[in-house]
Amino acid sequence: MFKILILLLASAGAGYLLRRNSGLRNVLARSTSVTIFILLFIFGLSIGSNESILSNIPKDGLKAGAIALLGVAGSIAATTVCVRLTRRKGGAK
Amino acid sequence: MKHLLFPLMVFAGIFVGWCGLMPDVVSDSSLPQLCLYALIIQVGLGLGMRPDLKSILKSFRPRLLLLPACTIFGTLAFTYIATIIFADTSSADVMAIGSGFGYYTLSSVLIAQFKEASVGAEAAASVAAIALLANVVREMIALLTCQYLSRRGRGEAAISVAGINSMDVCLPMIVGTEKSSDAQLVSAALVHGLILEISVPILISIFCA
Repeated sequence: MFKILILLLASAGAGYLLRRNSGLRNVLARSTSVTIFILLFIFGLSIGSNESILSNIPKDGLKAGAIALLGVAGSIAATTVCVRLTRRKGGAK
Repeated sequence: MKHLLFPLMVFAGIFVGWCGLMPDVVSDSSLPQLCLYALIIQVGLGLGMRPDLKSILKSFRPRLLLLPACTIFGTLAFTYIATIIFADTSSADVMAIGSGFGYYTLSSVLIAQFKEASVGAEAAASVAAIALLANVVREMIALLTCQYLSRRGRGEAAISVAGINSMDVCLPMIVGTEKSSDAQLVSAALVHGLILEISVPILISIFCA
């Protein structure tokens, strides 16, 4: 976790220092996409080469849909409660 | 166009893998690992180089942290319910999947890489496949509902539903409606997206540990 966090923060700092370099920004936009393409392709390979994952896709799709819907419902519920509480507090001042 | 290419790469990989043409270089775990570190560095550089980073940081108020906190807490609390419905999936896996907040590219590859060491490539790919689908569905729900929520004066809920996409894809749908107080909502949406972008790798590494 710390390796990821340190990498992320250090590169964000480096990015801030290099922010005026528009050439690098253009290269970065392309290279990020290329890296994601490679990783997604590798990820697809590991799915495609595995029979059990392929056969479980309908069941996993249901699971994925349920997790997505629950996540959205949770976000709305928590935000609604928070907005009501902060507005009530603001109104009482 | 780019958004169409992402799923296309997954399908291309699935097809090549299904045909049994998996290149040896991919079986070696050092290439995906190197790509993952390269991606984290590029995501970080991209964050630091954002032209609007200064204005986001200037508009930052501690109060704006409440919204990403609500999104993280609400998403994780409700996705935990999925562990009751799907008893065959561990709670840590479900929480890792939920921690993508719509960032389907990064979350799926992070889960695939982080889990490989502990549970093996097959189990890791299975969880990562669910993460990919779940976060694509979340982005689709966000694209379909953000404008509706914002028009009804529920801009905060729209930002929260958008997850990571509140600062890019969904931003035009969240702001620019008659009932929204745009300036405040733009700041909230940008800070929300930025905090979630940082929290995705952190939360996933915690749940996949």
